[in-house]
Amino acid sequence: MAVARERLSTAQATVQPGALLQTIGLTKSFGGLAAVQNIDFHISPGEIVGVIGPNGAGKSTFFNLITGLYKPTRGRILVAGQDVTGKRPDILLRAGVARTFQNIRLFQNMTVLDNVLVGYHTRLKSRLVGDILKLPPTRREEREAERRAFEVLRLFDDRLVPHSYELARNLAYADRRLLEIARALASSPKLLLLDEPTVGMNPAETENAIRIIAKIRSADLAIILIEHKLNVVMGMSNRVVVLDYGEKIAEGTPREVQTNEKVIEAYLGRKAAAQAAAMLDRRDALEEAGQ
Amino acid sequence: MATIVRAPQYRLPAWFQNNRRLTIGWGTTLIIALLFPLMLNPTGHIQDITGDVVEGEIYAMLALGLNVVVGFAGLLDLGYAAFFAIGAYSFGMLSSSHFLPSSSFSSPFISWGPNGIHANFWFFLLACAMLAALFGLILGAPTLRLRGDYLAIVTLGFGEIVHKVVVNLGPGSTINAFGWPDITGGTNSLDGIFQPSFGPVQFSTDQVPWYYLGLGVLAVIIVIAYSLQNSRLGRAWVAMREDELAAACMGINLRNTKLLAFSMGAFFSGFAGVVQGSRLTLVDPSQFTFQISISILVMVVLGGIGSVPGVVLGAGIIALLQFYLLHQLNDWMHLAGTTANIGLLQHIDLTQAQYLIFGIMLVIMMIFRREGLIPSSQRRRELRPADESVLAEENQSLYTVRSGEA
Amino acid sequence: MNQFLQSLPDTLVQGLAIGMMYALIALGYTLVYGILELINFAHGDVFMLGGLFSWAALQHFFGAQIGANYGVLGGGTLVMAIILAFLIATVSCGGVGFVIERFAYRPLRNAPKLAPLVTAIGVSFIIENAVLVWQTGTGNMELTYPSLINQQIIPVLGLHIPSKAIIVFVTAPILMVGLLYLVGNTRMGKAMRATAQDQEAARMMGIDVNRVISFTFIVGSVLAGCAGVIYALYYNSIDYSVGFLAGLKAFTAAVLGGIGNIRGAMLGGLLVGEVESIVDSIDASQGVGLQWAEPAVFLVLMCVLIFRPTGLLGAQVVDKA
Repeated sequence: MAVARERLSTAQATVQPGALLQTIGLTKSFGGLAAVQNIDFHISPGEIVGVIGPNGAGKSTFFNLITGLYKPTRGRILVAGQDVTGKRPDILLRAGVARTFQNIRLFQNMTVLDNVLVGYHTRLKSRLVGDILKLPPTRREEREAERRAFEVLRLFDDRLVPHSYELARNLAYADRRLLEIARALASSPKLLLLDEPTVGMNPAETENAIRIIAKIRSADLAIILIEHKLNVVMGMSNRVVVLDYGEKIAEGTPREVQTNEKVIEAYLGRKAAAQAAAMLDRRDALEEAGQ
Repeated sequence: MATIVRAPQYRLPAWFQNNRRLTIGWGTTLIIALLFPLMLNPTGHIQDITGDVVEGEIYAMLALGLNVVVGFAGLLDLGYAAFFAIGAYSFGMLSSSHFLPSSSFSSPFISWGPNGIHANFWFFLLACAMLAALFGLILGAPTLRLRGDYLAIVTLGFGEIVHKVVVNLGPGSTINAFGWPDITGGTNSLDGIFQPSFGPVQFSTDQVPWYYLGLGVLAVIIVIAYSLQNSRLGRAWVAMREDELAAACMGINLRNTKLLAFSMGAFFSGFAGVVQGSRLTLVDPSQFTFQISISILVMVVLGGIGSVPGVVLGAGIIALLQFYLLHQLNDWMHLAGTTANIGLLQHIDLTQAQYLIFGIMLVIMMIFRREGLIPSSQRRRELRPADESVLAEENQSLYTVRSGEA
Repeated sequence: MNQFLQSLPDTLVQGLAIGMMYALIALGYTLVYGILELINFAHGDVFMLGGLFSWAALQHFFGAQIGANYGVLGGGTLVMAIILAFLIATVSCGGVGFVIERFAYRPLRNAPKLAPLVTAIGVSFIIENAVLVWQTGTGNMELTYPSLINQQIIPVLGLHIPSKAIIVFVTAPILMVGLLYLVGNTRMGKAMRATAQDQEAARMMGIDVNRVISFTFIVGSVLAGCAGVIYALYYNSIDYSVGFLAGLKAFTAAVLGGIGNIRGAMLGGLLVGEVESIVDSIDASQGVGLQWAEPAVFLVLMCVLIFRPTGLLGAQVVDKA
């Protein structure tokens, strides 16, 4: 306990003033097993940060924590300097954090357009009386929402617009992933969390998804990207954070991370890392001997 | 983004078709409904028949209300009659000769004196419905974070509590030992409820004015139900039903959204309660039993969960069954029993078998036609999911995930 | 108040007796919920059927003796009658439980949660009202259940224990211990526990999940049927309407103890019995009494669900995320 408090206090010393989202000592355990441990993380407006790590490293748990699906066991979450630790998902969305899911969670039986309109939910001001009486402001607002929804759909070239009135479940797999992004974007987030946006896509679809993500990034929109395809993360991210066994083991530019010993170890396994180190040692020794 | 076209070229023609069908359907129904009392033979059983039809209208109001809760928001409410009771009893106490105050008071809304309390019907129609809605909020606020099946049980318990309280607070109840007056009339029923007038029309034992009143209230409720369905709130309800977790992550406040459904449903049944109470000039605990809650559920399930025309039809069928078909069947069966000389057939009272038939209807509908007779297209797809893994995910509740049970 | 305190020990004994009945019914709810996450609304009605079928059997085989002795039997006949009553309840209710699961719930195993819940209510309605129709059709509105033994008050250590409570104290614990043994120490019990944990994994380990579910329904229904016999012997009456309330109270017990948790259901049953008995015993002149016992129990239910939905001993349901 004393250790934990100390950690927290040292972490507090490093509150980042300009950060859009910051986590301090974020920890989540399930029945004593820490899925995410002591993570200090921050992202600034306009930044793209990649989060990588082997399976079960705690990446999705991390997302669930910062979107309020899980309550943290310890630690704090700040959005634009405001403490939102333990707040509900809908409050976090209002604070500007929107997400997609690793296993697509669209509203399958709603149309593509309606899915996006649900994303627009928090921007609508109409309440019960307006909804029932269909007052002119409500009608105006609904028209405006629909217009905005098409605007968002159009960002995805012609992948989604032609299917606007079709059910989400009838879309092609890759397009469903894109629709999840569209739905999240409709809430005009400040921070977009993409949980493996290209998983299961073929190279051409992946290419297209990357292009679209690049297109939606802007100075006001920060993106955290969980991705298994290392070339995708390394190519898009300003910064990469590596998780292993729930802990942050490395952080830096894509180049720094790629050469980090701990990262190689995490990905290739300790034995492989040891072998690699031994091989390097032997080469060094041979080189020395040769000289 | 400069000029945005509303992209009408993508609109499915089916959308228009559906709407046109709806307009024609409702228009025809309305015309027939308006003319209905004129079609009856005034010398015949016009009062009996009209009375039964008004009963059917009240069923439809209740079914539409429960449909908001079960159909729109996907919450199973098994104590729905409780809100019906709250509407009826609150109006009954406020506008009857049940309480005889010693003082006198007079105002346009409510006045009282030694011969009872008189409340303005039109104002209190709204006020008592809002009271029912308030009770919906009070019950809903703590319970709505519960998983669906627990919610069903809690609402069932609530319905039973309201029923018991109404019975127990009557004369001869032990609580009178505290010196409390007879509040609800108990099993003796609360009678002497005053009936309203509207301009020259005095509502009394003549059922025709009640018929038109019921029709008016029903029309208002139907319009409200449709507006709700096609609104920001209606969309939120669908999203919540589909996938609670994803809906929360899209900024939908689950508690408030559920609460609104709960209290809207209660509101409608409050309406029905006021109309029913003043029409019969009495309210009685037997009108608000668990059986009644389930009967309303049968109307919703039979007609189509989530479908406005469906539940109106469902209410109609149940009313027809209850007031006409069962008696007919009973007569036929007794006749058959007498001719074939089978004792059992002669003795069985099919009107007693009403709830047995309701039970069979629930099971048959759920197994063979979950979406009801006039399905809501949205609900049909949800009730017949494509694959199980998606279903498991959609059945997750945010509460269990957040409390770490998952 | 004084009178209330004086009679408190006897009140508690009475609460223990009805609590054990609730516990037996609650076990069925908990077993089924543990495996299917379904509230089997019809369970209370199966309980009622237990009393009803055994009534019919007793009338048929021992009608003459029962009629001659005002419901009291002695010696070997008494033993035979009790065995018969429980046997009939066991067989018939087990069968009913199997049929309900097979034909009403199984077709809906993969449907949205609303569907099985609505079906369960439908089944409950069918059973309850079929019995009602039978009772009215045959003119058996008031079924007097023979008490079988002499009704007397047995003084034990200053307590006044009614002789009919003895039946409860003997039979209920046997059934409960039997269930604990079945679930804890047999092959089938292991399969039940595995299926409750993770149906998919159990299936992959070669467990016939459908069989396990059927078996669970049968076990739960048998317990309910036996509870029905005990109830009928205790109150000397049975009719179509007792299942609903007893079922609801037993469900409260199951939730109170932590649904899915077998020991929890037993504990919850006893607590609900005590609550009911205490509220009942508060003298009517205090303004309370039996008609407030039900609201009190439901209030307990609502409070538990709202404030501690996992129950006292913790739910053992694993949410399949």
